[in-house]
Amino acid sequence: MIQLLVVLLGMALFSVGAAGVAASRHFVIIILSVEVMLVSATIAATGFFFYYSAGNILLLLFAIWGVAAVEAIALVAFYHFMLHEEASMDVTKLSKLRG
Amino acid sequence: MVALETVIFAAIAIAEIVSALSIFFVRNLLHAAVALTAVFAVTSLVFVFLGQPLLAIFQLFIMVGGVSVYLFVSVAALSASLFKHVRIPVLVVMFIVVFAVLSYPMLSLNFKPPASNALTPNLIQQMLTSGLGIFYIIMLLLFAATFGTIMLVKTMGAKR
Repeated sequence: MIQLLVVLLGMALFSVGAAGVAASRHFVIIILSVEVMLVSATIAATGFFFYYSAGNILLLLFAIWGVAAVEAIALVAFYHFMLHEEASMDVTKLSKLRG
Repeated sequence: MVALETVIFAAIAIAEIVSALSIFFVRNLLHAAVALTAVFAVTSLVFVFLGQPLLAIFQLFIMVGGVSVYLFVSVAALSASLFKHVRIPVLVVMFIVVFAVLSYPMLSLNFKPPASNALTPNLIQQMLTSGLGIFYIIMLLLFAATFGTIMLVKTMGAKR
């Protein structure tokens, strides 16, 4: 029973993140939603490792944490760049890719 | 009779989902970052619950101590107010649809008896040394992201 709950928690968190990406228009909040999805991946992976398979969980988790850290760095870079350029944080108003 | 561990895990799960949802309902970026930090911290509790204290420590060091502090200092410290950015009906519908699509196949599966795998020192050493290429890729990713950030900041400085 409890192993199913762990997997369901991972899926619920992933759903929250995916729904956040779909429903929010704020650039920073969308990136935070992706962070939530990455957290859900760590929970599901750890649950499957603990209950079912003794695979190499550490490499997978370090890869996920690395991607999360890179995403935070990219968020900060783009956030300050958009503030400097006085661009809107509303992603629906971002129409230009360059210039 | 519901087992005590089920009750404890349910409480942790509710705290985690409420923290994640509160990211979308607060009106300030600082509060959203605090909510995300709560998600990271409760995730480390999940790792402790699963019998993986080493992963819980890594989670606290990397995500709470590293990523969250970085977000606090560089994004949330500006305390920019959020405009009304969330379409709540879309959020609710998307959550229900995605969760149903993901979880429905799981409910029909027959889970085999749990194995209670644990990270022993020998296993940790074996795991870390068997895939060094992954760590080099992660290092390259971090370096590229940091280098790109510096280039962006330099571009902004040059325009001033």
